[in-house]
Amino acid sequence: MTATLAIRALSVETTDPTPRRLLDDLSFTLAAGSSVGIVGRSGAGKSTIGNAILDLLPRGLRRTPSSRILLGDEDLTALGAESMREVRGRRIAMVFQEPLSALDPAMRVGRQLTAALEAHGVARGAEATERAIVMLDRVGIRDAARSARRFPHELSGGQRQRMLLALALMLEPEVLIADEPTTALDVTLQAQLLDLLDDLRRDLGTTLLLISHDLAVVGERCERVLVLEQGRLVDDGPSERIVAERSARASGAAAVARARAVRPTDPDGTPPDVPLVAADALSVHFLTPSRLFQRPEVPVHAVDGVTLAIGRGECVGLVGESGCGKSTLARTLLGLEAPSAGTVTVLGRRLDVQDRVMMRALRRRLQLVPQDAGASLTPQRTVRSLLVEALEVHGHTPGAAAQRRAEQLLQEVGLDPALGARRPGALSSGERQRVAIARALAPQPDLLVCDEPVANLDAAAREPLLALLDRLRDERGLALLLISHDLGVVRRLASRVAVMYLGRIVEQGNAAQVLDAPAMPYTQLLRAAVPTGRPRRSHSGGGELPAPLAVPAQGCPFHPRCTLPLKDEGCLSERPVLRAVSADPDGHQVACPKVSLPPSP
Amino acid sequence: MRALRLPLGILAGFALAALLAPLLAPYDPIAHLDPLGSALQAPSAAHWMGTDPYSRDVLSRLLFGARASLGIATLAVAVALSLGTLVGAVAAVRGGFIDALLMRCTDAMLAIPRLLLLLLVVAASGPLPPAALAAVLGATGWMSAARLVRQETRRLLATEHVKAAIALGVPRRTLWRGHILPGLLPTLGVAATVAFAAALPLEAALSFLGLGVAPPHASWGNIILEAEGRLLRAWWLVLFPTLAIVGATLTANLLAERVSMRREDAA
Repeated sequence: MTATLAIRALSVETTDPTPRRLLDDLSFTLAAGSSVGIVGRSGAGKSTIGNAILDLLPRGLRRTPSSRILLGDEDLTALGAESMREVRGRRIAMVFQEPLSALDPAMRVGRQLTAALEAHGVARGAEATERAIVMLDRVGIRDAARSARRFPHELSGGQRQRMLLALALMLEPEVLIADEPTTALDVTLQAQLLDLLDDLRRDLGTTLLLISHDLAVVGERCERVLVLEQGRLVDDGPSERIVAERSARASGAAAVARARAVRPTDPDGTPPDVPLVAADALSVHFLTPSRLFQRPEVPVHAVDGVTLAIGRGECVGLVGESGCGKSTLARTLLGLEAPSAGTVTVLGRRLDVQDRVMMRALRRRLQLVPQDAGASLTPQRTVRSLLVEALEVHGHTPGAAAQRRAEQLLQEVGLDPALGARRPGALSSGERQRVAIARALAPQPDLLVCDEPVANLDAAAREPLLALLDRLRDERGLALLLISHDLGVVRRLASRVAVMYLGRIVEQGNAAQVLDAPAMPYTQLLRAAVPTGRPRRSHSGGGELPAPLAVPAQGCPFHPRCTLPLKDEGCLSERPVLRAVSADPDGHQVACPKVSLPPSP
Repeated sequence: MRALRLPLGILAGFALAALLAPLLAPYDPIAHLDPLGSALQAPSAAHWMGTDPYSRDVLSRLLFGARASLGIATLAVAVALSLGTLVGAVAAVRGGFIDALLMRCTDAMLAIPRLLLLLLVVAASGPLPPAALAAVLGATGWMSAARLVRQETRRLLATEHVKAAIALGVPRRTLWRGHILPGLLPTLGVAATVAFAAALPLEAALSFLGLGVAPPHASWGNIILEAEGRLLRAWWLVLFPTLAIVGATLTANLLAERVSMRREDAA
């Protein structure tokens, strides 16, 4: 039933009087039932391929007349609008990157699935509903019959992405185009979703075209990989070869920077005597809004009894799945959120959110580079005026001196001072990230909190930015709190690491110990989920972060997902506390009474 | 920018004609030229747009009338926009009860037909000088601006860049001037052109009813008033001012649409 999809001389150009080519003469074949990946940087034209195949190019772009797209013996470029609509969804389906914007917010998810069946005249009424529920069950949405009556916003991020997959596979298409299907997800969800995609593809015999900026993801899941650069195919081959060649080349470039990075890290990772910022038994609770006739307010423990210290010039990594409380912890350390219990101490002084004078003085010392740093820059202002403003707010001499200092800041973060005259929109995302860092450096802080500093950047722009952060730490003695779900990023910069699960620190210690030889099953799960580029043999650990209100009320919060063979009744009744597993009292700590340290090499 | 050039050019033409009226007008707009000989004449070489019952030159009155009509509409827009921005921004920032109160007042104002409201005010106060007329027009036309500004301010207050500026500790005045107002400008542009397109025909209607610009001073509306009782026979007294009103209003609407398209493109 499955046909071969062949792309012949596909070019896409702008419809201006002077056409510019976005895709240039692409030819490749997807054999029936095969899986092929396309990798490339952002802007290489990856998404344009999917849109060109389905004839969904935005206004202003068109396929050149010589382009051919053959599905079996049928030429899709020759089809009229009506026949093309039949092909879309029915024979070739697409999974989009942003699950929230790809789902209709005002339609129950079950209805969206049945609408797809009805639109193509496959089934209707009770039969359609039946099939929708079967499909939801198949993509691993629990309690499918009930979930079908929910709206997209009532589903978790992972469920939404599963829902998109259900929508795409509902009509059992011959070809599935997945455009960055997991980029918005954290590593464990990403691994689960890709596993699911693999399974369904094999069961249904679907041909897969997987588009991603992440070679590791593509290499792991596809037999063949195509490399796209500026609209041209520059490489095509078995994924093993491409992954091996490309990663060798990338590591060559990064090797120098990395060699520098490894040296200054503190070998034993012990916190210095007087910490810059310290949290002691810190908890932050949010109350869920109470409604009429509903149970009274239940506090959500976003941060639950965390003790953590950051010393001068130290880089501490904070890892965990999205929703585990990383960002709330950081905001509380910065005094942007009031603790419900416990204390935050900055240079020996206890932080009091009510004391505005002290907060103003301390906020200068602690700066945040927000998660979407590019969006933190007012689009109508020039980069220079934003930097000058940040300087003046923190008491720098105004006028020409501030102008000069702004240019210095730009140089410090490795940007041409001439960029100061531009507006944020005229910069690349890597440059915007640097401007946000320069702005945070303006008040000469002692601590920089970086929330997912490279999550929005493509692979090539990441390493220089990480090198910059490392240089600032090294040269200025700037302490860094690095929040990320990407273990590679944390391993690269941090000397100490704390792993968070549901608001609690479950493992902490020297970065090498914790990330290279994790003791806790949760950390192992995070580590196993990191894509490597090598084909996967076993499935990644199951389960997903429970909704905050569904956290087990007693016992180990992780026990429903725990894979430890030692798991017993004690895990259901006792809350584990952090305990040292190495001789050094400040060394490796875990929040599990059962695990022991793997034998050191 | 290219899309804005045409409507902006036409409006600039109207404004220029109004400003240069004393130079361009062939006759005095108010003096009765020859009440017996040349009253109510159809367009001719001497009077391109004919004359009115008092033998005044319609072209000259149209040019001077542009000063009154466009001036009052512009001033009305300034009043409407200031009021609307104040109400909208306060509602967006304060939220809660204040927001609900201000918005319900806005809804209530919108529920009353504007022309009726204007007639009531003018009937109560008697004929108004042009500046007061503009103020009254503005005071009855701020509601859509308030709604637009409230919506946009709420959006801007939730954006990362405004939150980042607050976290940076930027003083409140700088926050508004440097981070919120620049984002609000396209919306204000749309609100201004829409308000202008609404104010212009309203002033004309009031003047036509004899409640706006008081004779002998000309406005586009009260030129038509002179054709009272002979609307079809003295067609030139109706056609030319109507063309001016329709032309300026349509151009303002076109500008509003183009500005809002640009705003959406930028977003």
